[in-house]
Formats: sequence, structure tokens, C-alpha cells
Amino acid sequence: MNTEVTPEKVSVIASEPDPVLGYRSFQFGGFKFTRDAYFVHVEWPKGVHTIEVDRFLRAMVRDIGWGFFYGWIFFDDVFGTQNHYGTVDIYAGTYSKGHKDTGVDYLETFNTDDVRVAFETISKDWINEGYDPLSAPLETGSPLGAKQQEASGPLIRGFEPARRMLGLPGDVQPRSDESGHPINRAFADLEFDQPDIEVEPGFENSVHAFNLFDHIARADVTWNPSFTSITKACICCVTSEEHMLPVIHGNDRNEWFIQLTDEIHWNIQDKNSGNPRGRIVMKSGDVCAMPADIRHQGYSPKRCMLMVLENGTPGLDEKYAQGELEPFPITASRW
Amino acid sequence: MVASNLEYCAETCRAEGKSPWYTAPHDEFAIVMEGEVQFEFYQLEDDEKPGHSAGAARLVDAPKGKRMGKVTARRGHEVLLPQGAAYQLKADQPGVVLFQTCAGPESIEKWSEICTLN
Repeated sequence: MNTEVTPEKVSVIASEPDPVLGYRSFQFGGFKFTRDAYFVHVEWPKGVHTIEVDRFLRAMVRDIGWGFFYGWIFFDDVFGTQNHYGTVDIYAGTYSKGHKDTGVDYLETFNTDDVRVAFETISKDWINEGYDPLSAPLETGSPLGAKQQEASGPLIRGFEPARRMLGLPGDVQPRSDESGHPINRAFADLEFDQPDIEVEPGFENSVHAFNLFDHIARADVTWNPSFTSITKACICCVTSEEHMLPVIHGNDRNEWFIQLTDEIHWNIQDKNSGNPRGRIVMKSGDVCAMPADIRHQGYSPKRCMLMVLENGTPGLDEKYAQGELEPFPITASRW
Repeated sequence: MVASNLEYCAETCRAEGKSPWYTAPHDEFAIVMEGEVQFEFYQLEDDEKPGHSAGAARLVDAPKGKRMGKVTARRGHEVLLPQGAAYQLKADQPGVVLFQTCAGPESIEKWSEICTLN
């Protein structure tokens, strides 16, 4: 993919609604997206692939809300997107050995805004009232079946990032009962209080604290990191996890996970081939690096709290891609 | 140090008793993972400000500037350690604090001791 050429604008083209099920199909560049009662079918000039609709929609709305995130968002082992921070690749089979070997892989580059509009258009038509792909499966209805009334709430929510630190004057505020975010059922056994703060006059923007765990416990979305504190390009994201991460995340830089409560089981694969690299079960207090050359997917048997540390330095992805930086954070000299 | 991402890192400490005074040329953040920890903050006079580029550095003497305030934090609380301020931790009982910061003069790396190998 040539990142120096600006792609032409591509608009998503919607079909008429299916006469039986009511959903529209969508053509976007060389890709065609169709859904039925159970599945999404993705077609491209060389092939076709099927993904269970709940899996597809959970991945798609997060891909939109994350701004296509860092690196690769695999909806599954075949289909996904790669973020080039101004453009986005949509690919099918590009990182699947079988598809590559048989020559049926396909990749197309689009402007980021065009992909966002296309994915939003598809999601809005395919998500029915009563089904929320951002909630855990036990907390929402089913995406299956024929088209019903379209979901009326915002397509994406919970993505507003702090600029310096949650709760500071002028910055994003933590979740609360008043903001419509009660404590989630899974954290009802925890106790939450607020820190005691004494501020001398004139230092209101400098002396600050808040209950981070309370904020996470009130999340009404899963697998959706929210920026809570930023220093230079070091970003701390926290997220409430339940069931499975609906994407396989292919890193374009190192990131670190700190398990704050409960546990997550991670499958780790080689980013390019998909070959198994390892499996990690993180429990409360565990810390783990996710290197720049892997893809990973997590499974949380019970809703838990996870902290993620990201390095948001611009251009970092290119340094890893070109081999200027080792893909793993701790080299032998520091061992 | 328990996480390292180029110049950025997460560090953890056992908080017990009274710590030295520290400061950093950028914001840092502290999350209390266990126990109750008090954070005392003072403004630094110009001649007290350290010249290092990143991370926490230990002050030789107690700060001479204005008192900014105090935070008493418990499990799950996150505290801003603001750029250029001097801060001191105090815990009557042992506690655990996790810091979001940059690698600096006080950073200690013990990867071969703390990592689990398969």
C-alpha cells in the first residue's frame, strides 16, 4: 500500500432493502457487504467470506469508535482493517497464509473518513433496536433475524478521551450516577469512595484525584478503552472487559496490559502469519507486554478491569515496520 | 519499573512510612493499588527546579515553595503528580502505588527478577 498517494474519494452505495429480511447490501470500493438472519457475507473481486453477524457488528462499531485504533483490527483471521492514520486499508485474506498462497487475497486503501462513513452506514442499517454491540452479550438482545426498527441510540459511545486527566476542570469528567452510569452488576461487591483532597487557593488545576476503579465500574460498554491520563505521548487507557474481545488486535507498536481485577485469557499469534505464539492468563496484578509483531485476542469469563499503556508518538508505527525498533520492549541488554 | 515503552514506563513501589521528596519535568500519575497513601504537594522555587529531562528525580532538601495541597488516596484512586511540583508519599501501613511516568533517574529495572518465563 502506498501511503504517500491520497486515495480518491469513495462513497458507499446502498442497495434497496432485501424484500424478505429488510437489510440493505452495501458496495464500498471492491468490497460488497451483505447480511442475512445469521451472517455477514463479505465479497471482493477474488473471493467471499462469511462472519457471524454478532461478531461482525461488535468488531465494526468498535473499529469506528476507536478511529481504527493502532495497527490492525482483524474482525477474524481473514477480514479486517489497518490504520495508516489518514488512510485505512480494508483487507481480506492478506494476513491469512491460505488466502495468500492461493492468490485470493485482496486489499484496498481508502481515506479514513470514507471508511468511517461507510462503516457507520452499514452499522446503522444492520443494528436493530434492543441489540447493543458495545454491551456484553448477557446485557443485550440478539442481532439475529430480520430487520426490525433501527436502533435509536448513538451508534458509538464511551469514546470521549481525557486531554490531561479525567475530572480536572475543563477536562472530561468521570462516569457517575448523574451522567447515567450506575455501577455495573459485576462490580457490586466492591466498595467505592472518593479520595480526600485538600487544595490551597490557586492550585485547583494542579491538586487532583479521582476514583479510577469507580469510573471503570460504571462503564456501559465493553472492550472500549477510554483515555484517563496522558503525559506527553504516554496514554493510559482503562476498560471494562466481559466475554471476548470481538476483534483480534494486530499491534503496530508495543503496548502494555495491567490487570486491575479478575482475569483475562489471551491468545497470542504472529501478526503476519497468524501462527500461534503463546497463551497468557493474566490475573489481578499481572503485567504483560504485547509486542509490535503479534496479534492478540482476549477472553474475560467475568467482567473485569484492565489498564492499557500506549505510546502515542506519531510515526512510531513506521519505525517498527521498517525495523528501526525491536518489536519487543525488553531487549537482552536490559535483562 | 514494571512496564517500559521506549521513554515511557509504569513503575511501582511499596509505600510505607515517609518517602523522600520527588519532582518531574512532566505530569505523572499515581494509582493506589493497596492501602491508604497521602500525597503532599509543594510548589518549587526557581532555584529548586531540577534540570533533568524526564522521570522522577529525588530532591536533596525539602521544598521551599508554597504548599499546594494534599491528597489522601486509597485503593482504586488515581492522583495527579503535576509537572514541576514536589511531592512526598506517606503511608502508616504498607501500601502499593503504581506510577505512570517516564524513565528517569530513580527508575530501577529488574526484569530478570520479576518476569515469569515459560
